[in-house]
Amino acid sequence: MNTINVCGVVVFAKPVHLKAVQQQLEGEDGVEIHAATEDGRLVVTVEKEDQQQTGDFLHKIQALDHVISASMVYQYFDQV
Amino acid sequence: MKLTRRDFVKTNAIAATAAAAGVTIPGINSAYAKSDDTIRWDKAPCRFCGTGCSVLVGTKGGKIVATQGDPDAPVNKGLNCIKGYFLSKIMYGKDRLTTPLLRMTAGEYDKEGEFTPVSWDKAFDVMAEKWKVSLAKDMENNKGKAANELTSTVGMFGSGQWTVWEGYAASKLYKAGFRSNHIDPNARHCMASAVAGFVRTFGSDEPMGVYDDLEHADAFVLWGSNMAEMHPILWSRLTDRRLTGDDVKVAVLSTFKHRCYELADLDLTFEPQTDLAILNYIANYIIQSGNVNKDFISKHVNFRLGNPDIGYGLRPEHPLEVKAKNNKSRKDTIGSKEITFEEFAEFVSTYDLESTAKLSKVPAEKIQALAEMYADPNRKVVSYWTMGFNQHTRGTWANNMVYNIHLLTGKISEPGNGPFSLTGQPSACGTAREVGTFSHRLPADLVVAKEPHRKFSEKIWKLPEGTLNGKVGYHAVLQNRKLKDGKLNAYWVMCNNNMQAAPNMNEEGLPGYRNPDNFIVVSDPYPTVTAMAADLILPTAMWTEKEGAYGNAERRTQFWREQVSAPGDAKSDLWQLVEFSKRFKVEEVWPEELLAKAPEYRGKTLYDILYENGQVNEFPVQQVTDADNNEYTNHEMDDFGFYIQKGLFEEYRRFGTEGPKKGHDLGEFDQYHKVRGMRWPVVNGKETLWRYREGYDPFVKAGAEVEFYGKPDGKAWAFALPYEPPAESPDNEFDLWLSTGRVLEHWHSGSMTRRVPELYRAFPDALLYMHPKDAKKRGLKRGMTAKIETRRGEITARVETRGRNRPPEGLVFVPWFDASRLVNKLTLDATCPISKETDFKKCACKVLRSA
Repeated sequence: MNTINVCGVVVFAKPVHLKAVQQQLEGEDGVEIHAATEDGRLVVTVEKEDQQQTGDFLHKIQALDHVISASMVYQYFDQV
Repeated sequence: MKLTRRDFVKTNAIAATAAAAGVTIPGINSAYAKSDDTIRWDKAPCRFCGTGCSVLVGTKGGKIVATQGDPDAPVNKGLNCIKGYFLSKIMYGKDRLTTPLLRMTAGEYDKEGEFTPVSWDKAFDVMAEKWKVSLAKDMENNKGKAANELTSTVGMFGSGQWTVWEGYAASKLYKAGFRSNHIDPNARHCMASAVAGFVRTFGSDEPMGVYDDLEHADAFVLWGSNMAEMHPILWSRLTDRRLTGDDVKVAVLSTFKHRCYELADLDLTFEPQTDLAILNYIANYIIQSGNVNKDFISKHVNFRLGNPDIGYGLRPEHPLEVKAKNNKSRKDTIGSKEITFEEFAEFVSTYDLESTAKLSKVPAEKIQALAEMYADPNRKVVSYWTMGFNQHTRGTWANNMVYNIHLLTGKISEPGNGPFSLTGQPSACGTAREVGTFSHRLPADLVVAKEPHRKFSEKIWKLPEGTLNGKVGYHAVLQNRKLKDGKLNAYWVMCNNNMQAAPNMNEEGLPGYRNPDNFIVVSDPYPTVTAMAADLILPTAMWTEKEGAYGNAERRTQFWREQVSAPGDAKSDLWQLVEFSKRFKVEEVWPEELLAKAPEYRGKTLYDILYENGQVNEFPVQQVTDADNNEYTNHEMDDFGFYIQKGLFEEYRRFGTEGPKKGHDLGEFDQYHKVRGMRWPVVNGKETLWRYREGYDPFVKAGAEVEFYGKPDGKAWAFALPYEPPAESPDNEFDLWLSTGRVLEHWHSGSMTRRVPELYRAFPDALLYMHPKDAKKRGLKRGMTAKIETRRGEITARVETRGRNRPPEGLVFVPWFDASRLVNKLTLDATCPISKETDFKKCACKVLRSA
């Protein structure tokens, strides 16, 4: 892969369903969870081949069960 | 340890995300660096909703290549929603308009002709000719008439997406130049009821609170607002507070289940229109349970009985209007009389739990739980609402009635307590409301109907006395009716997509635009549904292709610099308005008796009088730079030969600092370019957080604690108002409620977001959301195509019975972003008779299997 395409996302989940949300996210290619707090906050990065894939995934997060909100924070795209 | 570039970028991403989430991750340095120094980054407010997030705009090689959440912005704290994430792509749709297009046959203008590229000169020649015919007719018709009786046949439909100075320049051109008040913004469709509600209760427009309330409240009540999809960044702040705060509650009211229900501790799905009864029940409960803040109401509140039976804003010959009692004059619809608190209590006492539950179809215990939330003296409550309240045939009342609740409990104008109307457009507040681009308004809360307000405006604008027209102009819905009736003939639509957005397109909008008596001009970056219905299309420079300013829902005015040039011959709305004014000699628009009062204006153009007036042209050409000394272009400054944005803003803000309505002060132009916005009133360079509260608002008299100074005695008005039925309800033939609205991925009519491939693909077509039982009854299943029909038209859409929106039985929901499924062919043009805002949330439809 000769591109760098990274996006940081803050995800809020209902605390009782936090584990389930984590599991769903961890099953995704290029997705890493860097922190998860008991009150339902997740620090997530997404690395995909191109922006279309990132976009599709961002839509998918929003639609996941028990995800209350997902906001993009950081995105970087470059060819190296 | 040596970091690869990928590691470095990723570490930055983790650090920025953790910081925005308020999470500390050991070993991650939060001081992340800018990752690519060949990109120039500068701040700008987002182009979409009224939240007013600040984004960092990355420019490389004359093109916007990236946007990201601005970590220094108090509004969004580095966060971005999915639309903001793809913001950089809205200007690069394949079908950007780059040249004026005129309908022509054999080289001449022809209303039935084909769109043909023409020069700006040709476009303005044809346009000016049409305007002059109308203006000459107006002068003839107005001979000998008083200032408050003037009529006009020229009009404009403007925007809550105009920059502050574009709205100001447009308002000045129409109201001062053409002496026509037939200028109204598309904000009429989205928050006119909020305006009317604020003015009626408090005597001054716009919220008293700020977004900081999101971190202070113990309870949030969403009244007809799908914040999770329409204001996602505010929703993430609210979510953060709900999840991390101690015993924070969220209540959601809607006519169908949506994404916000996921977080709700209390959800109330009510029968359309019965929110009015629920509001009155809550007031009644507060009184009955002994939770009225008596000290607060005795010092700060007057009680009024509002006139009932005010009609539905339909054409006067409609049977509902003929039948209504208090709809024949403005005085009747807004009329009210003073009552005592006891009389108010008596009035709302009929809204008891049993009857309210029955009417609203909400379980009694849920309604009572909501009332307890408001009544509890130890719980700080913020109420939020958007179109559910505002797009309502009793929208002004709904706004008044939620204020009743906050006034009775004294939960207002302090951190964590207050009613807050959210806006849908980036400058609905900053431009449409504050500049006053409505058919009845002037800047800074002044109105055309009041002679002292006109006189003050004439002084600031250096106009002879009696120039300004005192007759309220045509509002949005009335403009379409008057176009159809041939009473409005020269019409300019700018920065909106009203053919798609306005109600009852088949019966009013389209016949109006295509009426052979009329000449319709549409300025837009893209060939929208509205543009295609026009006679002349003008290509427009958008967002960061010009210097701009927006005002968001919390009174925050935010500026940006021009980042890139517009493609081809596209020009900003500001350039178009000001350049067009050069085409008019004052003798062609003002009568002799007016000119006689200002002989120095003889022979001048409207441009000379309105813009090169010694004030607007006061600031010379300069190089625009940022704090890092990056240099920026400003095409309008180059073209007009002075810093026109600054001149317009500095003249405009005198309405706030010198005007008769206090508390509207804005800061100096240069300061806004340096900060992430400021919330007005701005006094001595300092913004105001909670209005009307001593210690926060410098206009409150010392010792008053709270002063609603928009009213002469400093007291707000609580209104006793009844539940009244909607204009159209389901019956045997049209047996379902139809509600329209928006979705996360698309912004309003989709003219920008549908041109971003990633957003288009995510949500390409509008769907018909309905209950599975309602689908089954009609032989429909998820994914099948259905026909939706009302008395006014029909469209087809695919059925969705799962997904994000789950209507109850008896109601269907269709989003309005989709230009290929124009749901406004179906809607009824019934409005709140006070605010004139359309009720897009309620009409009767039927759904059938599509052949």
